[in-house]
Amino acid sequence: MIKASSLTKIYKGGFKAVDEISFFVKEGEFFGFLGPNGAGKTTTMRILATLDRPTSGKVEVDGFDVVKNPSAVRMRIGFAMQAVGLDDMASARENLLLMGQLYGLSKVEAHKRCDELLNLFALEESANRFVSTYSGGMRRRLDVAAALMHHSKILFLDEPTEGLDPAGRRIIWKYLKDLNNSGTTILLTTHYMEEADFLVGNLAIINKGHIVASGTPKELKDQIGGSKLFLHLMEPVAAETLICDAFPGTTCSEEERYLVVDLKNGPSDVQRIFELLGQKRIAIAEFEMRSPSLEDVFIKFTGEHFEDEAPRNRDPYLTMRQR
Amino acid sequence: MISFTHAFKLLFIRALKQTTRPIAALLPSFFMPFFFFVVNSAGFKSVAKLPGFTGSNYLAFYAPVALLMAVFFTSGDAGFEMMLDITSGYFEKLLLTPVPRYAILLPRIAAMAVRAMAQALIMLLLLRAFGAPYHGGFVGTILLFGLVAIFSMGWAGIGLTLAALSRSPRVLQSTFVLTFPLTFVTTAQLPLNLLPHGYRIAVLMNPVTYILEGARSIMLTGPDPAKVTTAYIVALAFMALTSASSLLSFRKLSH
Repeated sequence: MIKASSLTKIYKGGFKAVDEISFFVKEGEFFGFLGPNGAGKTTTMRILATLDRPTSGKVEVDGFDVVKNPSAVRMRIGFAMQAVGLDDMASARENLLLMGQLYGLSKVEAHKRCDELLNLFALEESANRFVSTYSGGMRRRLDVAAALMHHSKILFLDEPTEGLDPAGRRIIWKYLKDLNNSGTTILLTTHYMEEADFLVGNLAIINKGHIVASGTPKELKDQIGGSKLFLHLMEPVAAETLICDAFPGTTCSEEERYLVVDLKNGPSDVQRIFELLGQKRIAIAEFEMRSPSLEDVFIKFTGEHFEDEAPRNRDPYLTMRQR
Repeated sequence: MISFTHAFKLLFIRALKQTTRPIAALLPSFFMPFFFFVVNSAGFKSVAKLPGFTGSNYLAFYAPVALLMAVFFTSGDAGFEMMLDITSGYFEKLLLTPVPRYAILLPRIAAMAVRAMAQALIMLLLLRAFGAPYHGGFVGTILLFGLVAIFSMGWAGIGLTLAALSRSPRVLQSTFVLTFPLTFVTTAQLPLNLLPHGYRIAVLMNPVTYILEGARSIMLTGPDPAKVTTAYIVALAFMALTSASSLLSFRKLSH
């Protein structure tokens, strides 16, 4: 469905934003580009959406070359760009209706779709106000809604939840999941680890214009190692010996006040460890289980820390914590 | 791809709305020409007594200048509106849509012509209310509004070209200074026969002179075929030139 071969983009002045990257996105897939700011994600997306031309390489979207047949590509895509682009001196309703009709929806269809999206993105009450009076979050939601007006086969989303509060982010995530389940191919760029983890089926980690790793989030994280159990115990030394004897091959280490157990069999070991500690009457003050994160993956493949601007709270899907 | 006509219609309506929002932004394009009209027609009243001055009084002589100036100020907004779209990112949104490229630019020019005609009508009524004569008649009025529309599209083309080429509001702002020489290095303040020789050459090289003379003939005496024909030829040539440049620069902007 989307195929890029040796895609390169060099801007005036010689800056190479994208350097010989190749990737393939299957029909119906939710594909993600994860990388820090300036990695080349947006440039790649703009080329795919026909806004920029590649310096070299070949890109096809739904079988159409983005350089030779940009109109056919535009018919098939929706694109929520990184920078919000709205008509400030028009209302949200006017913005959506015009976009829908420019993509070929009839007036009736456009009105119906517009009402659906205004409702979905909680913008009905302000639908007739000029966009210039909107908050940043409202503008972002409207911008994403505009990209969804025409039920495109392929949706490009360039950091679509940037600047949204957690509630707004969750609304969009849920909608995008549903949209993908109904068959829309989605290509997302993000620098939010949680977003990539929650949404995408396959992802490519991009850094300094290169794809440094690709696969499913699980495959990538599996390359890092298994889950770890962090235990804050009353008698750590006794517990370390106990656990290592009971689970051969398991490694234990100390990190600050925690005993860190590398779970060879994943979360299924946790219950057995708790039972064992319970039998020996070793009290647990606090515990936490951590799975490898995409940040760990990024560090492994690039040797650099990810400048993630997302809120630092961990995703409940990845972490259990009990005090 | 949706048809050119359908896209044109949708974007023409949008351009008309954009060009009238907010309403307060329309006021300067009335105020400035009217201010010059009141001040100049009063201040230079005695010019009408000069030997060789053609026309009944200076107020009548100056009224077409105010009309043309209103068109200048109005049409200059075309570039600013496009610049707003470029800087807000909305222009790229339009480029992403599957509409013919020129259906993004041409409705903006057409909408500007409609706005210029509407403002010219209001200006004309205002001038009449302040005593300016009008002898255009039905045919003259049609010819006058046609001239206004063509000239406004021509002037809009300059703003659109600069907006597309520079993508800089500051560069676009600088076109404002062109308004004054183009308006006043003409027969705006004195008839051609009363101008000094050197200045007269500059005036004759300014296309606006011919458009002004055409409009003046319609308003003061009824359409003079020679002057109106010349005005139309010059206005159409001016429009063809600036429209071509705006289309070329737009093409560059949109790839």
